[in-house]
Amino acid sequence: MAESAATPAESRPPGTAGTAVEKPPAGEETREWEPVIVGFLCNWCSYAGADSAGTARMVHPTNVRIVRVPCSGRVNPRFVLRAFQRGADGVLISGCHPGDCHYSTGNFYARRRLLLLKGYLEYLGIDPRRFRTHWVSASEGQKWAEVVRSMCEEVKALGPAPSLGNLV
Amino acid sequence: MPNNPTLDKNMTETETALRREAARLLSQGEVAVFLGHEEGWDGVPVPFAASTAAEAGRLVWNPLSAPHLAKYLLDRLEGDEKVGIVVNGCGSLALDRILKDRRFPRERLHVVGIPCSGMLDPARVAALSDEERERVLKDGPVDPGLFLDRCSWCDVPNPVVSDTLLSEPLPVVRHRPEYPRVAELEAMDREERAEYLRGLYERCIRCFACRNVCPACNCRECCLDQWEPLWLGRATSPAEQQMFHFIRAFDVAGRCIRCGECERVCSVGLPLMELNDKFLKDITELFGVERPHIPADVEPLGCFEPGDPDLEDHG
Ligand code: SF4
Ligand code: SF4
Ligand code: FES
Repeated sequence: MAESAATPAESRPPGTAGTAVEKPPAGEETREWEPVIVGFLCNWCSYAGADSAGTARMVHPTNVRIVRVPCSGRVNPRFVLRAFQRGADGVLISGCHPGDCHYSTGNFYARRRLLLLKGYLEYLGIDPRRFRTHWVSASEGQKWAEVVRSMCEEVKALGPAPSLGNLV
Repeated sequence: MPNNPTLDKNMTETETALRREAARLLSQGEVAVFLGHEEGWDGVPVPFAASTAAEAGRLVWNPLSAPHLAKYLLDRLEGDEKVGIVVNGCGSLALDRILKDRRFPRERLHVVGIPCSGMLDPARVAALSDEERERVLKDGPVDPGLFLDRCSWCDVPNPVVSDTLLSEPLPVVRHRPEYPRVAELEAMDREERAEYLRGLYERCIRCFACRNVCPACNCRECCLDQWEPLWLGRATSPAEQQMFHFIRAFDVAGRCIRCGECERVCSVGLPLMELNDKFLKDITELFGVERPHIPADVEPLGCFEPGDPDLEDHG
């Protein structure tokens, strides 16, 4: 059975929190290595923005595994560290532009928290280029595609993220 | 070093005054219990709750009265009896942290304040020879390296919360906090630093003493103890250790009073302030909060400015 992030607690092996991010199949000579990027997208702007990129049939890399959150303010910094620990090569957070948050100020609070997080991840030894935050509105499908493309290229150039030594 | 801690020459008188005040509060029924220190093992004071005037006679105040007491208030949340507590400068910051986090009602407190010019680190003093220790504790002079780290940067000698002061307030010289250990770590290259921190996590035995002593770690239910959601796996893998230290430091970011109690009580002597200080330093640099360790009505992560640095520019 493939485990997903929604694995119920009872079926988890004891002593482990959550499950690993599944990597695309590796080791096939014909395919080059592809990074896994976990994206936390706010429902009201960026998720809709990604959707509009799809509706407009824009082509962009498919490396971002999207987690829909109600607001960028919902992103607990632990989610980000956990994603890296479970094998993400990059983490992208995307929300409404400052001033446009559906809950008025969620992204302003998030911004302070994520700024601190950014510096801290580097302090812990994670390359800051692997962690990005962007503001993408519902109508900015173009910007979304651009963000994904540039982040993928950057993380691809950096190579696989160093392992954080998880047992899982 | 921005501060020159010294030992108060009148500590014996202060101790007598403390016992007298605590006995008065208890016998007149103004407080039901008084939180202070009593003589512990090896002469190091340990936290003590006196509940009668006679017990107040066991209270001590000396150069090793380092342990903060405010956290013990959380054991007394139930009921409506009044609690007395003794604090020096940094002890009052710990108390203020609990008050500003609205975890204990101010009305139920009677705070006895003692202006403080420096306290010794019990572990450093314990390492001295018997004669040395006696000399240091009697009449000095005291090597500055024997003081608690927090005394070297303290600019809050006088309690910020108090109902009674046992001696005259001391002159205050304000200075900007400095974070030399963080600067050193920041100067290392990334892999080297990651390796160094891995070594730190590996030695941690997850006794939770650092969390338990911390005045800013004061939630009713701690996420580190929760099973569902399981924020912290029980395995002591490097990743879970990293997550533990991340949660412990990040969740007090913006509320840490830089008391260094976590580091002082660590069972295996880990330099935990290297993790806390990074946030304090960044909060000043990013949000312009000059003295982030002083409890404020609104904490730096509980507010924002529309003109805060933008994340998109930060990559
Ligand atoms: S220095 Fe340590 S114990 Fe003191 S408030 Fe900060 S994290 Fe808590
Ligand atoms: S006090 Fe030290 S050993 Fe105990 S949990 Fe904290 S860091 Fe780990
Ligand atoms: S709702 Fe989009 S960032 Fe708050």
